[in-house]
Amino acid sequence: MQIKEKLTKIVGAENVSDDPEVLLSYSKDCSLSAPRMPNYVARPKNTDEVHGVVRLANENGIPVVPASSGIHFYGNTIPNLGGIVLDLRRMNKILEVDLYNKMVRVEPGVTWGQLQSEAAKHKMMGLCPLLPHPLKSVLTSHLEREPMLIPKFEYAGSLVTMEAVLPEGEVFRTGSACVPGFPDKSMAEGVNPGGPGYLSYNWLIQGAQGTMGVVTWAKVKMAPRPKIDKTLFIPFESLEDAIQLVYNVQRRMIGEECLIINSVNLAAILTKKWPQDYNNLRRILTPWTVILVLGGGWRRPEEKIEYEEDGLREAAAELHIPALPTSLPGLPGIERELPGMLRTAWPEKKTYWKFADKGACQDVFFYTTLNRTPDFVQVMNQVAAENGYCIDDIGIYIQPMEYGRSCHFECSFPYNPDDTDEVAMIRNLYAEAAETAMDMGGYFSRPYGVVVDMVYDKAASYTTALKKVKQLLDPNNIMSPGRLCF
Amino acid sequence: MSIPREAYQTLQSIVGTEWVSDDPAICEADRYCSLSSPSEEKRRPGCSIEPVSTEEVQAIVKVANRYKLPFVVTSTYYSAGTYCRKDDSILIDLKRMNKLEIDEENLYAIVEPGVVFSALQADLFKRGLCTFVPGCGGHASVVANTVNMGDAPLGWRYGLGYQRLLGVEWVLPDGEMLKMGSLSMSKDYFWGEGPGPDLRGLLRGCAGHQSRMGIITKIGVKVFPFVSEELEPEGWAFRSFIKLPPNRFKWYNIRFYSREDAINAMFELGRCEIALVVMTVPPIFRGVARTRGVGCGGFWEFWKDAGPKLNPKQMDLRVLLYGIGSDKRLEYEEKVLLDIVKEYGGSPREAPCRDETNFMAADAICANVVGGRFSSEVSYESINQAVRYSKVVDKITDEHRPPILQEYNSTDWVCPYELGYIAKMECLRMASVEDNYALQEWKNDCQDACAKGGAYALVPDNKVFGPIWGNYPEKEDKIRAAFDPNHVSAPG
Repeated sequence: MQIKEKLTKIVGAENVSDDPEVLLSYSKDCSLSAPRMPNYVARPKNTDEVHGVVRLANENGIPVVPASSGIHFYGNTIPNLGGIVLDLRRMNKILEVDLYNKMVRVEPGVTWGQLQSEAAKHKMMGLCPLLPHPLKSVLTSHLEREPMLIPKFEYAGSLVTMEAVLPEGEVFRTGSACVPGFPDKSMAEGVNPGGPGYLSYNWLIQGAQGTMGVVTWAKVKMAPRPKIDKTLFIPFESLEDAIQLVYNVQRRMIGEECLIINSVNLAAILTKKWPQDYNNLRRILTPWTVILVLGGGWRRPEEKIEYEEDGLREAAAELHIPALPTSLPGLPGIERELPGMLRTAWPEKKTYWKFADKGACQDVFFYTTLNRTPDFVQVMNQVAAENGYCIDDIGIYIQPMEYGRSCHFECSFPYNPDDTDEVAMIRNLYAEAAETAMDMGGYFSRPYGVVVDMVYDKAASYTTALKKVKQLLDPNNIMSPGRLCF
Repeated sequence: MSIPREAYQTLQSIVGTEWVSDDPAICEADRYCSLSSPSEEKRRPGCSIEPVSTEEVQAIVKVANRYKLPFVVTSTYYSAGTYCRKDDSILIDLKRMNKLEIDEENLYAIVEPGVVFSALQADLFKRGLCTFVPGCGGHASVVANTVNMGDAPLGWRYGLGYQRLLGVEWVLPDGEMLKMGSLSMSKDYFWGEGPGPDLRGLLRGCAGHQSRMGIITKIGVKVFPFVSEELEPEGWAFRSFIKLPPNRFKWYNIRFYSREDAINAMFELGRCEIALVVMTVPPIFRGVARTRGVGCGGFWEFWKDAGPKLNPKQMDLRVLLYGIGSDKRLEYEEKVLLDIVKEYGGSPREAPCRDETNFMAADAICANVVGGRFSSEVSYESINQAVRYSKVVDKITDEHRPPILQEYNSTDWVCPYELGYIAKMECLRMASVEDNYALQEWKNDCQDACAKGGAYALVPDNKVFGPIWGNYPEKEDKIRAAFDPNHVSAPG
């Protein structure tokens, strides 16, 4: 029997394709990565079908590349060595809303919009990255360790347990979800990420870009949705001053969402009419804005906001910050609108904010500490200028993590994907910016594209150990071969 | 049997003759470098060695591999499981590796294995920061505890040990170095994950590997903002404490008249995201605290009288409120707490504004104070599992009583972490020294019930749980074989 027939037997004829036109759409994404055609696309609807496809791939030595979202930004679902793309979008059920433990169990195809509207019904909210694309998978965001907007949570624990089909076809559950009878007939509720035993499979599978198995569901944390909010837009001419405020605020554990954003990104997010509003906003916004959402808790919400405002005023006074605006010039009512915007996906009907300016965008992102971000801004500007990129067009987003202990630093370079010269320039700029940031100590925890080799060359001992683990879990190297250092 | 002369001389050349010894008297003393159960057979190490740097540790491990000598690591002699199980083991004592650095601005510390919690805490207090002292005591190694367990009641706000772990420097069982997180690419310890798949997953699961996967020589560990006032300890051993600033802290003991109410109140505290510590307090813990210094006999005399007067349905919560950053926050948290307590019919009582266990010392091994033997069944799962499993354990205990001693009310300690996302449950049971076997039987029955009921236990018996938990022991064996080809890292 041919592979296509075998796949058909597993997922049904309507869910298998080797049509070149269909395959073409899976061969490329929104990144600068080179396109590669898969041989087949299979669209399973449950764990059994995923299991069947992975086993088939193993028996025949065919690569399998899982893809959960309807859009991809980093090249990590492009089948570098061909094979089967496992499109998991049909697996889009919210399997469980666990209100006691403030968690939700989702399949890979669940999008941010879908999750957040369900969570809101229960007065909860998913821990959300900055304005994710409407087609973006919740599970992927957590698996890929995307930074979340609320720094008060310990970052390492947002994805709690999961079920994965391991590369050799075994269906395995991580942490306390491993108990028999989970979830309906067990005492355990799948909230402990560690184990089973002396290993933490959760950690080994996260950040793996589909190289360690196919995750078929995951239990992730939610947070109580504040009953009322107060949004502050604190303007700064210098990033150094913005950082000091964030340090002060986070040490006091004030607020929910907290981020630092430059005028380019803020304008792109808040523009309603392109291009006139965008240009106008870029002109009137200060170079940097700290966005801080104070959230009234489940009880006595007004009083909570009141003491947080007092704390914020005290934190600002220490730095001689004269005003704490709750609005932005030219955008009446945005303070009421923004918390809702930050707690869901980007609207489906609007062009994604990162693409609205020029049609495409290349991001360079890494972790650092807040006090080092001004140096990175300076260097990113320098590298951009040397490559002929207009530094006024660079978007910067700084996400404080874990009470300001560190931060996600993201530099966005919008570009015109139809201009081949510009694409070539961006390609070069991206590589140089990443290399320079790495030399300065920027930590690329999630390497993609050309950054992958730079990272694993530098992290030599880690690479050796990682290859050993991969060899044990995936001896035939069928899961996303050619990705990371595998 | 002894360590080959050539190997021993090589070890001497690595650390200097004064820092390695095969003197039988010293080795005999070092046989007991662990607090584990007296029933577990501990072998006398072939030699005991005290390196002072990562390079020396690496060199020692390479010697162990060359001569196929088992090695076991210790740092404070306070571990539960790291002792020599094989003859001619090298006991690697890391207490000389005690360097400590603090990044005050970015809230983390870099510590070597010889740094104990009290040393770290003292330095943090000077900077308006804090860590928290685990139940096993301020004299425990920060590295060992964070890598192995790393929990304590302050985890309600600050998370479990695995979440406090940042960059890691790790000498693997074959002597190769592994640097993880941001340390993998630079000299910075500020971030723990990756790059890519996170190999901290090899370091610990539900608990750590207790030196069976090499030696951690340095870690970055998170620290937290604290009050800037100087906190002076008062009193002396068994009665020592620190005074907490009353404008920022408030302790409440709250009695609930049903377990359900207490548990629901706990969930609600989590939803409201208040407090620094939330936990149940089994009455027997209070009894132990009240009789500190009077010895085992004094405790039982007190308990025989006080125990029968307890309402078996009551459950007490202890809550520490913390006005992080402002006095007004404390006022807010107190109002919310009292709202919740009222709603669930609890009786709140403000307790002295001081701390005996969470910041400075620890309530370690209270059970030892009451004499005899104790055993515990521990799990880290949801608050709901804690309640359900605790009922199962209570029932099993009744079937084993006597000889298991009468506690009169549940001894089960429920200590939730991360604002209630996860909870520790510890069921402590006691018997006289002569009845140690009864505790083992009780423990076996608990594990059976755990397996049948789909509960998640901390220290599972591999034979019982391996086949039903995804054959995890086989996976561990494969990983260990790949990283420890000579099987020298704490074998047995």
